[in-house]
This record gives sequence, C-alpha cells and structure tokens, in this order.
Amino acid sequence: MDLTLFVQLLISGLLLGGVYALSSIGLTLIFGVMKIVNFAHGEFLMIAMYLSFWLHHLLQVDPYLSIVVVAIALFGLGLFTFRIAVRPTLGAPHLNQIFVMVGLSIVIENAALLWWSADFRTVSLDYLRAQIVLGPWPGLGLEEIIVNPGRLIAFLVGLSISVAFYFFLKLSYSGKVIRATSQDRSAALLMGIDIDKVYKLTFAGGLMLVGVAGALMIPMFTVHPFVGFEFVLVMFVVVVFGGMGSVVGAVMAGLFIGVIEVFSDFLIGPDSKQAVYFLLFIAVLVLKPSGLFGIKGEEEVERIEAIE
Amino acid sequence: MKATGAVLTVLMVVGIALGQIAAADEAWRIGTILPLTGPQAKNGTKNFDGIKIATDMINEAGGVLGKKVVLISADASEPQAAASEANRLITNEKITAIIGTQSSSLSMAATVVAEQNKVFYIENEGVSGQITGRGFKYTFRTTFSGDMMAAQMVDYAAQVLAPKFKKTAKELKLAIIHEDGGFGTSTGTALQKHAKTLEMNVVAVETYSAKTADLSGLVLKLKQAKPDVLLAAQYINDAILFHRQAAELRFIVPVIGTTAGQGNPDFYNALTKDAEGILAGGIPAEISIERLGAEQKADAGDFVKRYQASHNGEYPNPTSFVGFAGAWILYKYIMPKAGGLDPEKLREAALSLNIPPGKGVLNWGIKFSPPGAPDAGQNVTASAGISQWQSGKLKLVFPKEIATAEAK
Repeated sequence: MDLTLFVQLLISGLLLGGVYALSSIGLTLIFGVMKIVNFAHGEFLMIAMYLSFWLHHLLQVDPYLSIVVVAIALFGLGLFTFRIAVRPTLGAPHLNQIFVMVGLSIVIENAALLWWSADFRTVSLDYLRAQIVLGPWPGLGLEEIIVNPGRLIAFLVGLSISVAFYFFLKLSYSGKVIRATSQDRSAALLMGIDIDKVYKLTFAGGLMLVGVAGALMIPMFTVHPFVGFEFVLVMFVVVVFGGMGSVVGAVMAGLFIGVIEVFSDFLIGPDSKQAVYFLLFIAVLVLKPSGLFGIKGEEEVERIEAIE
Repeated sequence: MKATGAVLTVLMVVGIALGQIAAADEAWRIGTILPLTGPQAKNGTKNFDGIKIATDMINEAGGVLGKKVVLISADASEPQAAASEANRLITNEKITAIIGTQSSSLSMAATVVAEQNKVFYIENEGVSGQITGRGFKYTFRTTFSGDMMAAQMVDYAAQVLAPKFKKTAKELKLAIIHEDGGFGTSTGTALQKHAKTLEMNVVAVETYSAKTADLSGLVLKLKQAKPDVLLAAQYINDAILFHRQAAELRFIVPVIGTTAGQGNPDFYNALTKDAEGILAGGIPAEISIERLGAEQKADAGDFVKRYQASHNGEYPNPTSFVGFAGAWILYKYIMPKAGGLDPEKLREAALSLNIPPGKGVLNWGIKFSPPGAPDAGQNVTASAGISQWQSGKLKLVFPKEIATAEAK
C-alpha cells in the first residue's frame, strides 16, 4: 500500500469515527449516570435526522442552522420521555427497563413508518459538493488527499462537544453533581442531591446530544424509519469499547472503530469489516470488561444493585 | 334487547355467508398476496394498483367467460405472514389461484404453501432465480428473472459501452459489487456468470452489507482496480452512499445498477445532477407503446390512462406495470383457455401458451418453461430493460427493440 492510500484511508476512517463518536456520546452519558441502557437511542437519532430533514425540506433551513432547533426539540422530547417511560421504571428490575426501552424503540420506528412512510429521504447541500483537497506534497511522497467537508464538520463538532462536556463534568457544580450521582446514587442522595432532577436532565441532555448528531449527519446520510437500527449496533460497540459512561472513551473508541472499519474494508474486504470490529469487541469484553477508558466496576450494574 | 341482538347477529352472519355463496357463483375469486404495510408497502401498493386496474379493465369488458373477477386481497410484510396468508386464502377462502408477491423472500414463502396445496400461483415481480428453480409445478413467473436481468446488464456493457471505450467486449474491464443479502448475492452471482460466458475481463468482485455507514474503503479498492465499467446490485440506501462517496473520492466510471437501487426515484432526488447518465437494469421504465400490436397497444394505452387518472397524472410506476402484466396474462390468456379456475387446467393452459414478444402484454410474449426445465414456470419471453437517468427522467435505452430513447 502506498503512502497516499494509507493517509487517505486513515483520514476517511477518522472522519467516519467522528460520526460514530458524535452519535454515541449521548448514549454513554445516559448509561454512565443512570445505568439505563437506552435501546431507543437509534430511534431518537432517526427523529433528529427527520426533524432536520423536514426543516430543510419545508422551510429551507440549512441543517447546520437547524442544529439549535433540533437540539432543543430533542431536549424537550427527552424530558417528556423521561416523565412517561423512564422515571416509572427507575426502581424496577433491569429486565423491565430493557423491555420498556426496546418497546419504545419499536413504537417510535412504527410511528415514523406510519407518518413519514418508508421513503428514503436526503438533504443535498450544494456547498458540500466541493471537496477539500490537501496536497500534493511531493516532498513527503504524498499525492492529493481528499477530505469530505460534511464529515469534517461532524468530526470537529463531535470533538469540541466532548471536550466541552469533559470540562463541564470536571469543573462545574452541575457536572460534579452528575458525577457524584453516577458514582454512588445512595451517597449522593444523602448529600442532599436531587437525584430525580439529575436523572431528568441527564436523559434530556443525552437526547440533546443525539439531536446535534442527527442534524450534522443528515447532509451525508439517508434518513428512513429504520436508520436507527443501522447505527445503534455500532454505537453500543463504541460505548462498551470506550468504557460505559466515559465521554472521552466514547470519542476515542469511535475514532478507533472508524479507522478499523475502513482499513479492514480495504485490506480484508467490505463484507468482513463488521466481523473484525465485533471480534475486537468480544476481545475487549473478555480482557477488559470495563472498556478502554471506563472506571473498573462501572459495568457491574447488577451487583451494585444487589448490594443495595 | 339481548335476544334481539343475538337474532340480528345470526341473521347478519347467515346473510354474509349467503352473500358470499352468491358472490362465489357470480364471480371468479382470485387471491392476492402483497406487502401493503411495512417497509415494502410502497412497492406492494403500487403493484396492487396494477392488478386492480387489470381487474377493472377485464370486468368492464364483460369479465372472464361472462363472469366478473373479484380480488380477495391479503397483506404480508414478512415471509411468515406471506405463508400464513397463503394458507388462509387457500383453506378459509377456498381460493385456487393467487397473484403476488412483489419481493422474492415473500414469494419463496407463499409459493411453497401454494405448491403443497396444488394452488395456481402467479409471481408477478419477485426476480430471485430460486423461485422458479425448485421444480414447482404450480408456480408461474410472468416477469423476468434476476438471471435475465443480469444478462442484459452484462450485454449492455459488452454491446454499448465497450465500443465507446474503443475496446472489444473481452478487453473491457468490469468490476462487480453487490450487497450481501439474497437479492445482491443472487444478482452478483448471475452477473459473474454472464461475464464469464462472454469471456469478459472482471477485475474486481466485492461484497458488502447494505446496512453500512461507510463505503470509502470499497471505493478506494475499486479505484485501484481501475475498471472501465461498474456493475452494481445495490439497494437504494447503500446505492446513494456509494455514489456520494465515489464522487467525493473521484471514482467516476459508467455504472449499471438495478431498479432496486439506482433506478429508484429517491436515488435521483438524493444525487440530482450526479445521477444523470447512471443506468439501471430491471423493469423497463416505459412501455414502448408504438412498437406494440394494435390490441396490445389499446390495452397498454388504457392501462396508462387509468393509472394517470387515479394518480394525479403520474406515469405508471414500473412496479405497477408488472402487477398489471401478471393479472392481465391470467385474465386474458390463461383463464379463458382453462375454462375457469381449476388449478390443473390453469397449469395446462399456461404451459400451452406460445405468444411471441410484443404480442402478449407490455413488450412481452407469453411462453412458460416446461416442468423439468431448470427454470420451470418462467415466462421466457419476458424481458428486463436497461434504463438511464436523462434530465431527471428514467428513459428506456436497451434492448434496442423496445428502447424509447437513445443512450447518452
């Protein structure tokens, strides 16, 4: 493989990984704080993509401008979902929570099918047609490298959100409250933290992040009622890989999976790329169950519950 | 009150039962199995529109052998549902002839039930080779098979594209990509088989999952293989992704896809001017009415007119063409010859037909492969076509005999 091809594959992989990371941050946040596996996360991504699509289609709002609207709408949807579906199951066994979230995903998927039909819808932005071309740099032995601007924007936004989020969790009072709740629910309660409020804002915040992801993804991907399912599998791999609950881990894992996917696509064959990252996924589960950046014990939900 | 209610219910049930018996005496009852809900609902409904128009047309012309045709419609969005609906139509509704099923996986399930019960089955759209490859006696496919479609895609590359590159067919470098589901795999295999028959130079064959979020690795791999022409068996979602990433990474070659992907209107909506010139094999995009015989011309014209009247003037969807064709072949050619709906007689009637292309329905003839043939029950005169996006419209450009526009 020549150098140009290697760099091109690396860049394509990192940009794809940026999309994975961006869409997984909300999922890992909800899991880390609430210990709830949001199986409907892919469907919320689908809703966000549809919202952005309709804003563009009906009102000609640029998807990059609609980020704010979609994020706020998804935040509201998060509050609503928390109230009707998540909060009643918080004290219930995990199996009940899983059923509720899976049920919710099926309801959303079919509602989308009913309202918006099975058509494949896309947003085409003329200004994204122009590719960013780097090089050539004959000195380095590099020919032209092509960068897709849509993916680059998603990558940069994903990266900055995770950095901002990292500092929000580390430095702000609310961040400390969220971290305290995630580390020990009971102790946080004893310290006078309003856990219900923390959960509510975390869930809505997680959905807000997926709202941003949806708006950033619509210029590149087709939206249809089953699009959530296509992304949710890789999102779970990213979250477990990076360590459940770790935002930085999700970003790193997202980038890693993206690069692995593109390289195995090229070197082994596109039909086996999923097999490659799922094998890695199993290896991580066996060797380091807490993930690459997770806190040890974070994944052991059942046992903590049992001790309580 | 309760007693009155019960009496009324009994009367109603008796009334409905009597009504059905009366209807059964007066009309031919034919079952349809199509996905009218679920992800394939769009095509299933369009296919049913075609069957419905054929039924209206035959009934307004006096029906078949003096009796009207009534459709008993069943909805199946998944293979299990297709099998159970076929069972229901056969055992509860006493149906002896069924038209369906739009997709190959639904067809595979429904035709098994029909075969076990010795019920006549018209497959009007599913293209998988397996449907007619199982030696079934009661399954007849009125439309072309995936194999016939793949042959035309390869022929187009050899006959039309090779001269443009100033190469012979054997010198032309082909690449084949296909998604790894049933549709992609069977079409991909057929493409390779026909390329081999013509001794063409296949420089790459790649398989991928249609549910992928990225195809840049595939695009770069193809770019290295440097094919002249790309043959692709893709669905719509992955076709859009592939063409977008191919344009980004500057891999631009003539692409012959299929109506499942490149020929879908959503494909054009997503790629707009980048879709111009892209080709799609499959159901011919237009009926070349001028080339038909007088009777076929009148029938096809009537069909188009009726479709437009009920669809805001839209030109018929290709799926509606094949839906219409299947029903029309049954009503106009098979049933009169069989003298009714007895499955054995329908079979014999179907096998005895020998109508040359252009004299049957649409641009097709009617001649089914006999039992024992590797494609038993296949209408060998049905043909696919190659269509091309030209100024936002899908135009039929190949084969020459039925083309409505020049290839660009």
